[in-house]
Amino acid sequence: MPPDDRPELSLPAGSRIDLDELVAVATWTNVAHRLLGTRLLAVERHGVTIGVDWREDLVADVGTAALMSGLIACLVDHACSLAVHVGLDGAPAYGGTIGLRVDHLGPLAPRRGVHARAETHRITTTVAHARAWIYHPEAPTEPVATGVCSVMLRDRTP
Amino acid sequence: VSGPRPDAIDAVIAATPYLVFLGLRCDPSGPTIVLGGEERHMGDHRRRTVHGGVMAAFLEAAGFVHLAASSDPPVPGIKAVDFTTDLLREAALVDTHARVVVVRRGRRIANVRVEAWQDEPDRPVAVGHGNYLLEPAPG
Repeated sequence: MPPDDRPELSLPAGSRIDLDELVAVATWTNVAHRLLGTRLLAVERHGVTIGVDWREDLVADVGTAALMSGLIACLVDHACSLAVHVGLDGAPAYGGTIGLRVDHLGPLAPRRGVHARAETHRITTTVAHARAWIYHPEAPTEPVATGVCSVMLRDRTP
Repeated sequence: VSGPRPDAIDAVIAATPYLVFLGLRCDPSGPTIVLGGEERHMGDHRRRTVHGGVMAAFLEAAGFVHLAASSDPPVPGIKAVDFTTDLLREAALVDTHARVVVVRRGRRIANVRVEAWQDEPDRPVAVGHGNYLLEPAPG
């Protein structure tokens, strides 16, 4: 079932996005992210912010208790995909990620969740490009990782 | 030289909670590292495909597991510095196998390539490459 503790979300003025559908794709119909407990935290004109809380079963090492770096790739893909989705402003053109790169800028802190903010900075007729910043919620200006994604777009001509 | 032994691969997975969460295992016949074809990895519920982010996490994890399982003596800290994944085909909810090639293993940095396939080894669903930091033992 969809979580009912949805954070207060608002869409940019004039947006044609279906917020209920966006929340569902971000947090619920995507089973991998439902299991991570991914939350949609903010929506911008060309971007989104999502977050995952720290959890014992998502760490790299019981000793350091920091989240596993591989999880970052999962967040980069999801945040960038959602950023392209909102950047398309309701146009049904999203076709799927074709490539992504993650740079791990430093170690993740013990027992800390992460937020991923992504924005799509170019949408062409065939491909959209998006980039993401991953940070601990307590330190949004000090990213622990960055990522980029290329997303295939479907033909939008009628 | 052949790759890491299956029991070493299983030991690294068992010691890494997130990899247990993903349900990674070793197929000793390869040996390959396997992401099970489970519903829990699904991204698009209409097409019933593996989430691209899970596939990318799997490839990065496979590089880590391979390096950790083939380190003798063990290297205490192996951390991905960067990892790039190309998603070549939609991946169905069936077992995905990863094969890792260590392109260069230096003293501090290892460079790997990873190829992932499902039913046919010659038909990859995803490929990746990355650099990993090999942190020396403290002291």
